[in-house]
Amino acid sequence: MKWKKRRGELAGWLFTAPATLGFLVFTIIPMLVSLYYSFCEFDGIKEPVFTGLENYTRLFDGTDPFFGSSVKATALYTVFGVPVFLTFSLFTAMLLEKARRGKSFFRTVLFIPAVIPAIAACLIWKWMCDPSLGIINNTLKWFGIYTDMRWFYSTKTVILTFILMWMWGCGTTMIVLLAGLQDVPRSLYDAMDVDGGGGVQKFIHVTLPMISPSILFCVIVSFVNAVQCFVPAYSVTNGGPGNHSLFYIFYMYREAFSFGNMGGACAIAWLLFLVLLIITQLMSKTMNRWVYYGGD
Amino acid sequence: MKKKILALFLTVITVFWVGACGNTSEKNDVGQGPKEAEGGENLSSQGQSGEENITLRYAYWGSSYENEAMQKIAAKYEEENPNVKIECIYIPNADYTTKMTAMVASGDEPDIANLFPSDFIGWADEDRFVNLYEMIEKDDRYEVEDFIPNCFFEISEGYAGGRSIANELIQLYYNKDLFDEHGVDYLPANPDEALSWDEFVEVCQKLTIDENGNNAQSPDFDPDRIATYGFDFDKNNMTWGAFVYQNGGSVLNEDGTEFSMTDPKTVDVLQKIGDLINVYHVSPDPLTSSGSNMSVTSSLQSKQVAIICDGTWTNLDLGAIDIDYDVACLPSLSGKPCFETTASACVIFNTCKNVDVAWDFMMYLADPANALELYSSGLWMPIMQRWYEDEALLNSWASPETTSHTEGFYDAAVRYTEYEYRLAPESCVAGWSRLDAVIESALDSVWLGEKTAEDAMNEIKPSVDGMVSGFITFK
Repeated sequence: MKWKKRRGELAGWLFTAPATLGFLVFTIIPMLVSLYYSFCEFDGIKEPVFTGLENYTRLFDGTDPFFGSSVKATALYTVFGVPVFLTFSLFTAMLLEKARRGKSFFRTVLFIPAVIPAIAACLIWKWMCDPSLGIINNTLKWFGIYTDMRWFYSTKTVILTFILMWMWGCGTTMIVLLAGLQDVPRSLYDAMDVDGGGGVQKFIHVTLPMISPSILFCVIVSFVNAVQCFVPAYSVTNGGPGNHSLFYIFYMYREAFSFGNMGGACAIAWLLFLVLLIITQLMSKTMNRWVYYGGD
Repeated sequence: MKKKILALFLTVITVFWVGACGNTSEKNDVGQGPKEAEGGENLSSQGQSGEENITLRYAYWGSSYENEAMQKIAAKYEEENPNVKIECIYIPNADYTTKMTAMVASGDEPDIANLFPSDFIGWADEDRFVNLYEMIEKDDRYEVEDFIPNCFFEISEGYAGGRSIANELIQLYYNKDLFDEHGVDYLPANPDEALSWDEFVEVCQKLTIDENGNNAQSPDFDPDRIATYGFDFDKNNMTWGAFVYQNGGSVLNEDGTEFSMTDPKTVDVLQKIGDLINVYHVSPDPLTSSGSNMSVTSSLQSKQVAIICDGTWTNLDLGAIDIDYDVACLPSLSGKPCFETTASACVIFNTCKNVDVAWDFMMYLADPANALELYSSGLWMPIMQRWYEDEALLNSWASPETTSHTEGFYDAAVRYTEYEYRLAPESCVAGWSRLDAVIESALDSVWLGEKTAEDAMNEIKPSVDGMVSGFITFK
């Protein structure tokens, strides 16, 4: 009996071994190695030299001229981008849900940008927003509106333009929210009708609580996407103008691969990991207060 | 059944494990073994390669036209040396450092590579390159004195880790059709006749035309509806650096210990460039179309811009498209013409197993006698002295009658040694890429008219001073 139990345990270990080994080799070990490198001067080629906390302190003592700009750009993009993106996604999902005709057509049209590869989407937007050659300014010009909007090429509008571009690709989030909306029982709206509730009350007291699990999922995914924004900065602005779109991940990438500062880049990555850990912990702690899971 | 599954699982694991080991050993046989090369066996084995098949991997960057030119020359070398195969590794400029870093870090570096000076310096510290002085010494065909000044990247006394890929200068290029259309005299190519700054601004104003056909000197000129700009340049240190040099300024002080762009001469010229954009409206800010979506050469061809500032390599791209253009010298700001040259390193990694063949191919590229197309097409200027001094040789690569070069090229480029010249910051300032990132972001605010050049440069001085690490040495 004992042998049989042990054999069962062994089989269990062996069957999970590929996944466990993969996780160990490709996630845990590289993480630990990068943690070590974050305390070293290391360019990716020479032997790492242990320098203690230097890679971390230089981020805060003003030695690194890019850290502040990258935190600011990422914070602006996240703080303004996530609410705007989610509100827009919810708005389009509600419009689709209410649509009587052409529902699948509009759903497809709105979803198409989400399946375009990020790099292609960025290049499309780069051309659309070109101040002199782009379709946006030229269309406005055609209507007699002469604008000097420089979109990606102005310190004032670059983040705003990135948020607009993000909204364009709202398809996936919209579908998740649409699925949530379609699951809201009609009877609850009927009950609101009987009680004399209007559209706004229905939205606040029925729709929002009922789709709050979908919203939570979208908030987490959008938040992570915003903080880890890389492709737009890499392919459209190269972090400019004046470091105003130097998003954190692009900053980390540039330190590692353009400036050969692998050790510093590891420290930058670990700092982000800690911040994300704290924020997600806070989110999960407050989750119970605003997310409604049916019978709970 | 369970036993069978277990046995199958263990077999799969074993196969993968053995496979992985097999790959590693194969890799070590083929790509690695720096010690062998360092040991001198290959360095002293000229001709030993005999008829054995040799593959050389050569990495470089450049435009698609440049890639085409390099592939042609590699194919020509293969034809002349049937036992040698050149594997061309073309990597676009923007990703070059990233990919080379990954290749070097993983021990998969090419045999020969063109390197940006900042990458070169990092790897030169580790003795990763073959000493080219030793190769010259062994090769009866060449002496160090045969090459132009600043040709060799001297890591230490007697040790050259790389040679300049080619000689390159910064110049003006202009669309002659636009000058004819607006009745403006062509720009001078001879540096002794260079325009003053005010004259240059005036020419740019005459060539900057709004959608109603008014030029920038007209009171009816509408700066919000410009159809053709007078002047444009790529937003990088080679172009603004050339103007800074014209005014006697520099990025670092003479001994390379301090950031010196706060100097009045430098600030003055940066402000002048900023004013071309924001005061005179004769140049688009470098963050818009020509600096982002459309190359300056395309905007010159499409008549969106009348004059551009770029390196001599642009001759290749302009020669390949339908445009009537010529080359001119930069305007003179201090009354003393001078030239800025650029140099990126061509190296042989010491992991190369056929150093002599690599050296032979490297010199094949450097000698216009073998690869005349690279020079006569306008991509490169020779790094060997005699191709400037011997008239017949000079004509073979620079004459407007027989090559792609224009009339102005001789005065605006070939005669540069008659004047003062120095290397662009990118080529000679150690740790340039990080320094450049700070400087360029500050200059963005000048080009956008958000700050004065003086404020922008003073603002970054403390942080840049902390990053300065001197010059790269050349011979």
